[in-house]
Amino acid sequence: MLKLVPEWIDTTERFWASLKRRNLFFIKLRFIAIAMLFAFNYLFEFLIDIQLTLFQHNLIGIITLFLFVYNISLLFVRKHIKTERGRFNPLHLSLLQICVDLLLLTFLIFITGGIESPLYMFYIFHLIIGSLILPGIVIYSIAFTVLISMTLITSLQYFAIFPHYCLNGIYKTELYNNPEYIITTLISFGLMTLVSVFLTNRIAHQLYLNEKKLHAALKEINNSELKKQKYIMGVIHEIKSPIAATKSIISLILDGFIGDFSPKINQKLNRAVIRLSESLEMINNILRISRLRLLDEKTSDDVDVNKILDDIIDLNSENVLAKQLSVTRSTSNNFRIIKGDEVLLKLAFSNLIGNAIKYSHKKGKVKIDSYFGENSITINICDNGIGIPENEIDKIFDNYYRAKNSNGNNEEGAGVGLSLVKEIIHQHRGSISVDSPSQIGTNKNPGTCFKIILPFELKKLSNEKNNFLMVKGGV
Amino acid sequence: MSIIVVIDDDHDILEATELILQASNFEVFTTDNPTNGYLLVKEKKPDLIILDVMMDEPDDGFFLAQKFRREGITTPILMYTSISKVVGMEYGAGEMVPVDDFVEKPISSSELIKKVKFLINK
Repeated sequence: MLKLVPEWIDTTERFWASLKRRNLFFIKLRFIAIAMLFAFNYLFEFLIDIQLTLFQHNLIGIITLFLFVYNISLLFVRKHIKTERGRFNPLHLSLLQICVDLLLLTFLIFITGGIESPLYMFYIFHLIIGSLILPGIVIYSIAFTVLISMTLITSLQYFAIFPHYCLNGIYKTELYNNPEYIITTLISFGLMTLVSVFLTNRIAHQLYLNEKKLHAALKEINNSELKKQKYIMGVIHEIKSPIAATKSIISLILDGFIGDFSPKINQKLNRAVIRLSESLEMINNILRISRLRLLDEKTSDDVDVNKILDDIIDLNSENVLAKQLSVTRSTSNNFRIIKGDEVLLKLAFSNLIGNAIKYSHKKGKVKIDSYFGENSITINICDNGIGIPENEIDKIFDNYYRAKNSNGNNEEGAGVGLSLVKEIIHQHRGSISVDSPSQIGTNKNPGTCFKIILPFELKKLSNEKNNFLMVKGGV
Repeated sequence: MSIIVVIDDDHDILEATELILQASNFEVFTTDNPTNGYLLVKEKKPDLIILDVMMDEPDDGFFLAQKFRREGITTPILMYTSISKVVGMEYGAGEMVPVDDFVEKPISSSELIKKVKFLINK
């Protein structure tokens, strides 16, 4: 099998994908050419004064029909071609297409006047496309074959060895037997062809090398981002360890392992545990963000969003009871399992539901709906709590943002939550929007409503999971 | 009385673990580095080993656990982890991580006792 892919080219998946796209582009382009040929054969004579003979009409009609069938077959064949260097690959298909096209074009030129035919211009167009994808030696061989064929047709028609089929109406005098015209046309055609091939081939080579450099640089950037995130995880682990140890010790005291202590100390120690838990939660959120950035895509689990929402409501039941909140939950009947990362989705929803509860007033309302559409699920999490000031609503998804009015609520937080939620939803190719006042809000208690839309399927799954396993050391 | 060896470079965690386990009538031996931990396990032949995953080197705990298994020590191992669950890495027992269960720091006394009792009675 002719080796069309030079050794210096990296035959990555990207390389084959671009070749496949190019093949499809050729096929689409050919449909345009077929339409033009059809128009030339049947409509042109009504617009301009060119008359085709019956013989020309029929032959062009047969070629048009052949091209149409051939192009439809290519549409199917291209899907089954393997992407391997040594076998018939997409580059061979490109070469085959160029050769068949040139052969048919040569025949068309032959039956539409030879040197007089305006169609020979299309040779250059084909050779430019070929120069972009084929190795120099192949495309130069094709270019010389084209030049020799053109010279042969012209010469054989000049010497009346081959018949000459002129295009009636295009030239007032016959040119195929005019040696001066033939020589000047062939020389300029030859020069134009060779210079076009040379320039295009050079530019394509240069472009490929530049693209390769660009990809190497991009890979380096990604690697440094990975290193940075690993470093962050290491540092955060160092910060987390003393806090975790402190909390372990205080819990030990609270659990009575050291001995008895007064209720006042108990109260203060409990408060200390709450504050330490908040620090740990903030640290955990930062770690989760690092993980999100470390992994380009998420794992693909079968996720029951309704169960996640119900579980989170159950988990928060203590807080709901303490605040005497009324929580309503509804869902549509056409239930579906979706694809996504269960751990991260749980995190996102527990953040949103936790916020709805946290920022609700006593005896407030929280409403959680989930509706399944044709391709996506829509989840609304609404409350009639403190709401978000109008001038701050655009900033709530920023890192480390906390609404001005949240401080009075005596709740702690790093403001990492919503930026993390947004990141998780976007990683799942979903969208999140916020409304304040919410649909269940009042003038006094405007409340907030988050709307999340998640597609059922993740379009692309990661094959970069291994990157993450490399950071096991940071555990 | 069952014997437990605890290996962790954080002295506060060592002390907390010791207190919790002693209260449940276990005999506890502690050490703060993998080298002594290895010797202690060889000497005391414990019923359970509690091992922190990250000591001087990030993978110390894993390597030590693998070393025990390679040498035919089949004592159950409970591993302390710090950020694995947070970042979604939940290990299972297997060739790569030859431990029996995990406890996430900060330590909850009830969770620790529950897991320790389960592994010792297994």
